[in-house]
Amino acid sequence: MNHVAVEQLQECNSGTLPGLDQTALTGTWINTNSARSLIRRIEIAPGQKQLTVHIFGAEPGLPEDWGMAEAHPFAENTASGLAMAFSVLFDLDGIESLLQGYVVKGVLVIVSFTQVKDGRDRSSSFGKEFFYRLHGTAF
Amino acid sequence: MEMAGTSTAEAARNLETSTMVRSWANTNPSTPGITRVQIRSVAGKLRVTIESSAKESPLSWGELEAECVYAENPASMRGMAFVARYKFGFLETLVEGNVNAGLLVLAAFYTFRDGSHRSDYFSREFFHEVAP
Repeated sequence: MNHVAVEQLQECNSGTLPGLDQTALTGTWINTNSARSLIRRIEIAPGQKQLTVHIFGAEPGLPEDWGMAEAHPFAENTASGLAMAFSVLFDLDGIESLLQGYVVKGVLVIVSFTQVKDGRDRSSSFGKEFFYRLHGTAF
Repeated sequence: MEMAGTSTAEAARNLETSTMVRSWANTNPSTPGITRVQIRSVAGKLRVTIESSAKESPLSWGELEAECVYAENPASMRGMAFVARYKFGFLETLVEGNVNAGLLVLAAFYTFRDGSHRSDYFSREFFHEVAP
């Protein structure tokens, strides 16, 4: 595993965190599965410390354009300056979708936790989808 | 049969959670991270206890209620994923778990709140069922 031992999970105060290098995550990502899915396309733009994520959906009953949200980037470990994962929450008017994204060998894996908030007739649901990056779209 | 709803949406469906309600050990016995996970169903709520490795004895993160339980698809009543959030003051950890083919996959997002130089980081680990 790449993460750190628990002794590093202790409080300390020693300087300011610079922003992470976000290039592994940015760009336009297309779902590898053209059949029914939750998300069709993702556009990820860099920011100073956050990423901007724009989701284009594909699931009936949910918007085609989810809009944009700020995503928090995460590194592989406490010493790394390279962002390789993010977490972002989308509020879709009665549905909330918490997305976990991470890059493995150039593939963006999106794990979705979609929660029903308005009592509509469907279960809160979990999903996993895979995306490839359009050539030349990394920032 | 274990059933669980959510604490945040009274109208949410109660999902069947028996595939998650058990004790789990990391498939990597020498992990420096999360070593064990126990998931219980108490009064219809899913409760999660995490232990991580430490120099001497395992460190317990304590037990908390999952924020939400998720089915494998919108039409399913079979709960197979959850989200829980640990707040340690200097550190917040968002834990997202799902069961797949008898394996618990746990993703954890560690966000430091102490102004330290450490990067926020992400881990993904795998767990198999063990006796409680």
